[in-house]
Amino acid sequence: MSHVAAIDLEIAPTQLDALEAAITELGGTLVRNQKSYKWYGQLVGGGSRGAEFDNLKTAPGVCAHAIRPAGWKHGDYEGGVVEATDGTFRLVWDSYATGVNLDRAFGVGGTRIKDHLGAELAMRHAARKGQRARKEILADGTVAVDVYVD
Amino acid sequence: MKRIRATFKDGKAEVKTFGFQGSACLDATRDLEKALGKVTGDIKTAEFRQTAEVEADAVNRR
Repeated sequence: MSHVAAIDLEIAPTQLDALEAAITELGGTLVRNQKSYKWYGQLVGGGSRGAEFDNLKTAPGVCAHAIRPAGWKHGDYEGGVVEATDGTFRLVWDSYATGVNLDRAFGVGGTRIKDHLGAELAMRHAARKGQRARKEILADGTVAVDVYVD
Repeated sequence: MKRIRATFKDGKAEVKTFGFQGSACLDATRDLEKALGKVTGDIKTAEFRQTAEVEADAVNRR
């Protein structure tokens, strides 16, 4: 092994197709251009809302696209793909009530979506370069992609 | 054969290279790392340093 790079995964607005593929792989649905996502509707005191809610361009409940987990029914909470002030997309939702279904399907803060998005981007990157690539899910849930370079 | 292994867990990625000579591994992964997000750390291993030294020796002997 010659070098190791550690990367915080980010979601660029130009990666919407890959994001949709990642959400679909997890059994969910990306609802493109739905500009609001269902949540409790108001902030209440005493809770921690998570760092993913910091530095967003829009108010809670407003999004660029919405996310639904498998088994979503009308009235259930949804996730939002929300633009942040740095130009990247964040994945946010209300984790209370039916929001727990989003946590279960996609990981708290959308970490499972990010993992599958990263793998999707790596596979697409390899395909563009004409390189052979193989994806596997390890026993601990890690998504791994091997790219073979001639 | 040269190989790049990218792993994804808890919203973070790690990209490792195998079988590359010297700085070629950095060139091979630069675009992929950029597409994935923000690089927060980069470690060159003993293999990188050994092959980089061989490359430098070869240049110096020319």
